[in-house]
Amino acid sequence: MNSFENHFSYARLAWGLRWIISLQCFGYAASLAVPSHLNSWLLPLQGDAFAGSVDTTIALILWTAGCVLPFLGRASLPVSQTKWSCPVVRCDAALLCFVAGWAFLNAVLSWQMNIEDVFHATDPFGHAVRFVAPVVLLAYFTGTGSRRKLEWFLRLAVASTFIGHGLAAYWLKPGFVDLIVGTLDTFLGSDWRLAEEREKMAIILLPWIGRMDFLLAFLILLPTKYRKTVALWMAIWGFVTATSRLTAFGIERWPDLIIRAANWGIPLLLWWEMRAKIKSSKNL
Amino acid sequence: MKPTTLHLTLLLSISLLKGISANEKTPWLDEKFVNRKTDGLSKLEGSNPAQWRVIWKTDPANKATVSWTTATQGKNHVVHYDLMSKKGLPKNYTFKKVSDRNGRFSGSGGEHFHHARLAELKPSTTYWFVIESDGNLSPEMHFTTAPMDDRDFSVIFGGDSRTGHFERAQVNLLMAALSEENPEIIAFAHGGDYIVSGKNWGQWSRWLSQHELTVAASGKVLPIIPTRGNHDGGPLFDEIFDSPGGKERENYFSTRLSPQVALVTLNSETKAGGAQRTWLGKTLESLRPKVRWLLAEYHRPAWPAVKKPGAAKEFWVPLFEEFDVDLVVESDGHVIKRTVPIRNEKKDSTGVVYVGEGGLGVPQRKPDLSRWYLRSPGLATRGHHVMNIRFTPEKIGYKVVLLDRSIADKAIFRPRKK
Repeated sequence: MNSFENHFSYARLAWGLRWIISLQCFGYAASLAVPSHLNSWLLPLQGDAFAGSVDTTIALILWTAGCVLPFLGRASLPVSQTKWSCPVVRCDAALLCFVAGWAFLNAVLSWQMNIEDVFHATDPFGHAVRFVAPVVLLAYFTGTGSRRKLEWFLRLAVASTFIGHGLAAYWLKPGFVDLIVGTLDTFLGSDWRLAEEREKMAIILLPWIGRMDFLLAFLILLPTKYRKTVALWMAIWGFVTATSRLTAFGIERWPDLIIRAANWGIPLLLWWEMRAKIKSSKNL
Repeated sequence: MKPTTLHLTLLLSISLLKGISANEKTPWLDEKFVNRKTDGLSKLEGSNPAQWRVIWKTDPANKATVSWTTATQGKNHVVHYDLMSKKGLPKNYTFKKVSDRNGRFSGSGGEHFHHARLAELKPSTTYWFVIESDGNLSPEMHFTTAPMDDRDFSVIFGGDSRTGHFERAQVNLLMAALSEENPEIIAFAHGGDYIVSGKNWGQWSRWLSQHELTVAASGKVLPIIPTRGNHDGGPLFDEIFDSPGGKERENYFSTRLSPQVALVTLNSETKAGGAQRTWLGKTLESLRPKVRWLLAEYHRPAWPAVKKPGAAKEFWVPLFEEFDVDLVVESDGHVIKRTVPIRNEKKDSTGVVYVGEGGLGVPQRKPDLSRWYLRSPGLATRGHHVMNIRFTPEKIGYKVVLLDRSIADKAIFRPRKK
């Protein structure tokens, strides 16, 4: 790969990551219209006013991050040109750290605040791609690690997300049953008399969905010739499952879709990269 | 006119009298009183019966479960009961029931639960009972079964007691006082989130001990109708409340509070859209023509004042509207709220009113007053509270009682036109 192609590929990946993270920021920010897990944890310790102001501050930062991250395009420059003395670069890095930190904290608190619920124990795995993506972007433009290594981290994060969701599906997470039943209601018509049958159908489907998730997670990590197809499959499946929040519960759940932008966006980006690499090698 | 010494003395006397009378009516506002009461709770030692409670499930006119805890397994666990007071002397009671279900609490240090399921009880009847474990006795207590006629009665509703242990004790003492003063109050429906972590026996144990504070000075016990909250996951809920809903269902059941009043308790912490929805549809379809007052209760709100709506909104609200449920009680948000009547996601005088949302000790949140369903004649505010709901043939009287006994909200609901 010549330097121009390398630069172009680098810029493409960074650009894709930025837009995905930006979307995710909007999702997280919008979800803070209601109390966060951090708020629930702070409430008995510090009271409602403090917990509420923490949520508001975090939401403001996330809205800002969502708006500015796509335009803080320093990362699209070659690593050698990243100037740490530039306040824009510092601001970019700080926002990415914040987004990664919030996504990670959210995953951990979602588990800890629902410690009695085994399904929430999968959250730190299931949310991995959300907090790994900003870290990888940060690493890209600071020149930490090779691109190959960073792509590997992205694949690992995607695999973790699919394993987390796969486990919850395999264990028949009630929320997932409701997503299937609600989606069936939307497309086939809502009828409470049929609800029990639809639940039974969901209970048959979910373990297979779980197995499929495990298989995809395994395949994305293997250096097979099918990896590109696997990535595309993961992107489509990730989008379908994220969209099921809307198909089951209505458009008011839109933050649930875009908060999961990385779940389907990162596999899509990986597929795009793999496709570009194959094209590029054919051209050589 | 200049204030004279006489005027000042009179003013001072009136203020003092007011202060004394307020303190007499709300002694739980005094920290020392609460601490004294808390210190006086029964000790969980050996096979000494403690943490007593009476549980209502489906048929409270004829059945009730008397439950308690012992620190060790013990051998003989019995409830002695009668239609009149026998001063706590076991041999004097006409009836006795050996505990039906005993076991070690999951994750405990050896504490055991005991459930004696009393059956064939007479409706609207006060039963006096004493619990005996290996010869150790509880104080004599009493509860009244649900009516089988159309008499007036009240039930206390409330949710969210997971944190704020001091405030929890205060609300429990308020409940005991209300129950003592008003013989019409026959039960307490808890909307869930008893504790922070449902698998933590220590937290449950503290809640159970503090629940003793709801027992009035006369020994009157308010039977509890339990709802599972999002913090109440794990096996302890079923061990504590004797698996309400039975093993075939996941803690959803209907309670016939009288021939004209039914309460449907749902579990918002499990699958809402499938079997539970079909069961809810069938239950409401069967109950609606039979009862004047049809209520539902669950933890996670469909019309929240703080958080985002739970699955109840998608799956249960259409059924509440189809079968014209009279009142729905929700918890989880840590506020006081009453929505406007809602039908088809709009304010509609024929719609369903949702009240809640949890104030049995938890720190209160600021409600989001911009939500359309909370605007007047709806209401949202904050404060530790219980909801006293009174059923008569003419109306449901709803009022929200705060710790200082002031009324934060009240409303009247009339029977729906058939």
